Amino acid sequence: MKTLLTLSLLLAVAMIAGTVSAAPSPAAATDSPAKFYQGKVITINTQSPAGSTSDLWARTLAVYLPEITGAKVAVKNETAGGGRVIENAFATTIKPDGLTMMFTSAGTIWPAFMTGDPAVKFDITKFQYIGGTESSNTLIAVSPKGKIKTIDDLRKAKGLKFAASNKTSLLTYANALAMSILGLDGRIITGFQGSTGRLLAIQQGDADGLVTSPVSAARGMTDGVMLPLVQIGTERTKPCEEFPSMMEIVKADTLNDMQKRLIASIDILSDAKFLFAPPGVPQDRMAFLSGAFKKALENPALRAAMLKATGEDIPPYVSGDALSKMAKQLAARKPEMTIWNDVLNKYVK
Amino acid sequence: MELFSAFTDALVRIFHPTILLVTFVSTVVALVFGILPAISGALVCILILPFLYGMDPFIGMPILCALFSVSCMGGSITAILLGIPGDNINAATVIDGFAMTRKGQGGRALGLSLAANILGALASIGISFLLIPMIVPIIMTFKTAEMLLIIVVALLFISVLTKHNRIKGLIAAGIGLLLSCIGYQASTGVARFTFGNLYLYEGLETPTVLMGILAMPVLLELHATGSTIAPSDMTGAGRLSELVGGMKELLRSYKSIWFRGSVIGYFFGLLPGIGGAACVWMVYGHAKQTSRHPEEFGKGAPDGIVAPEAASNSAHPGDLLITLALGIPGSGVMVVLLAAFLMMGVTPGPKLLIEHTTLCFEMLLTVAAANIMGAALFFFGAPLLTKVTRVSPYYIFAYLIPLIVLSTFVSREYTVDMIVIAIVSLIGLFMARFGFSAPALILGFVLGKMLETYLTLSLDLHGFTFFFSSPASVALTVLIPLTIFFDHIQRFLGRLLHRKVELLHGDDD
Repeated sequence: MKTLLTLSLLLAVAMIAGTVSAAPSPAAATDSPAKFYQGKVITINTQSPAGSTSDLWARTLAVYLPEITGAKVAVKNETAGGGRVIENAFATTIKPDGLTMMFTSAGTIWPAFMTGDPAVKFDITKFQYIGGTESSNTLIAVSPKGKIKTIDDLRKAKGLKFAASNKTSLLTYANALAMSILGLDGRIITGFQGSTGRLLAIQQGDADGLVTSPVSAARGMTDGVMLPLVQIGTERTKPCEEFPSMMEIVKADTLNDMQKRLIASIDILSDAKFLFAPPGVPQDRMAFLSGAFKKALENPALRAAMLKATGEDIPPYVSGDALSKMAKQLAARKPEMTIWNDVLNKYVK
Repeated sequence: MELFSAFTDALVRIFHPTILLVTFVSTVVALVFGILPAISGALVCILILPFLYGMDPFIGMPILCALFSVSCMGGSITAILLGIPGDNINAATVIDGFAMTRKGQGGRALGLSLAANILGALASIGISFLLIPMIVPIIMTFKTAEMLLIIVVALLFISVLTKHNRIKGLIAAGIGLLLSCIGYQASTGVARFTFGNLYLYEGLETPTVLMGILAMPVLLELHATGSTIAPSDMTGAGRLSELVGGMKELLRSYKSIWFRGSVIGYFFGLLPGIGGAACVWMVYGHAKQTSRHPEEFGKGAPDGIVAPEAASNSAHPGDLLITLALGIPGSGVMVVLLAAFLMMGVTPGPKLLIEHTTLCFEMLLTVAAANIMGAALFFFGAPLLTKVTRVSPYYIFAYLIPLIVLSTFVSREYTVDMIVIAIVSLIGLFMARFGFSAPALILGFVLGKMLETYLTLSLDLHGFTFFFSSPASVALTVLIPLTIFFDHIQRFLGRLLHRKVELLHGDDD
């Protein structure tokens, strides 16, 4: 019996020792990144469900990254807790080996961090940004069949109703900002089911307007179901650059103190899309991944596929360093972020 | 003329050998996945998304159409034979389908279900062709207030489902409504009853609740009693002749309820957001309310099988049409389909019906073709599958309990779902033991979140005047007391008619 116990103990020790010695240590990474990734599996997580824009981005990258990296690429939709579970895991438990990354948009994670969502356990300055694309302004749009046809009509109208989904989403914050800056009279009605519910609300006349992404605005215009009026930003951005930014309509010197502070931290409304990795990935692997991502975005076949899948002409590339800098600048303003909740609560009853 | 030419082009295309082959293979896959509990058509579509990238839409579309439209047919088989709904929309079939199986009439129940399914699907495809020009005005009529009133009417069917004990029925519905409150509430940005667990932010999954409330108590009871599902002395049960008999029975005696089930199902398919899971219970309640033998419901009433089965399969073409016409997905599976369309370079929206009419017709015809293929497979496979009802309950228990738990896990890969199914199963057991209505709980659960969403939206938009915000809302408001007092009105009209007949006879005398 004793012999059996001793043998079992020895076996257990041997197994633990074997496991520990076999585990790759990021700090001890000696292979060149190109060699390291050969034949490995990279997992791109997205907190969006299958079929969403971020999911389509991730799936498109999964088609074009293998030929550049030599690795296979898998996509995982991690929607638990609206994505908070996987975001928190990237700050805590995900192994920093350069094989697990996440595709998301700034608008999904930055406002939650900045406005102090209690479920957030991550710090946007600690993530390692691989690369992304430039942000585009969201827009206020109305139904082409409604009474409001111009920005003047919008500013003169009383008791406006804007259709929104989630109270704390990027689009609702943008909506509240635009209402404050443009001096619109009305309120934001939250609870509509996603972008389709909001679009249906303005088509049916339940709401007067909505805030939407530029891609949806462009598509809505083509289909004749949306009339975009104004960009919610300080200056015009593509792809709806024919529409003025709100700061072209309102003079800067007419803004009150709170509005000026809101404009100063408008980066919180960035919808830049990007890939990031957990803290601690070896720098050579980060450089390799950044290069691979940039190369993939330059591939005309990928750009055509993205245009076909999402209707979006890929915005200009932004480096991981630039994204990291943006995140740090934004995080420095975190203490004064309560003004965003104040403006939100003013328009969302 | 152009429409006719697009229709014939589509017809020629679906008879192309390649298209027929991919439709057939997809139909087989959909039936197999449909039979697996808690695995829905949406999940199957998600699994094949990566393979659709850049695929020719004329090949990819038939695959998707077959997958989403046939899986519920497979779900009917397990709902009837094992008491386990293969999909959310098969849940109402369990009540009378499984009761009929336990009486040794599984083949008859399958026959009724098959006929209701196939005829429901074919009829609704016919309606879709007719409705194409009117689809947008219909959808524009049903705004937030109208949707709320429809949900209220649907909720009122709880009183029909719980006639034998209203108090227990209301308690069960209340538990269902409470369960629906778990999770993040988008309009207020507040998480409720999550106990700080992020996995509960999205609320409870409908299949998990259905399995816990409907399937688990049945399996545990089978294990406890040690008896087979169907009486073991029913040696002839499940023969092809019994199946054919069930199909003929529908055509002979249940045409009216089949028709009403199909129309209501199609209508619910058109409404974005409500979904088939709620619709089948409403149709079930309607069937019970209008049946000549409401006391038979829950004990194997044929109309309790026909109505929800007709509704479940006729909802798909409506759902598909609205997604194509407006680019607005009406259900979870349509969100996935929409993404798949985009991946193949097809952008749904108002222009699709005009610019790609052939493709739209091809999709609707593929749904029809897949349903016919599925029905044929169902027909020849059913007698064999019926044998499972005479297998020892211990084998069934040992096989199905792990399968249900695994399927529940697979749909989201959350460990918490396995804990949830254990807790909900305990609630289900308690309810079964003390005679609380499972359908009332499920109806409360599937409609709860929508009720809250549309109620807050309607009050925000119109205040308490939402009842009268449009002619459609006025009509629906009138429908509410009619639904509540249906029995009294029916009795009153009956008495009136009886008196009139007596008076006429008196005149004759």
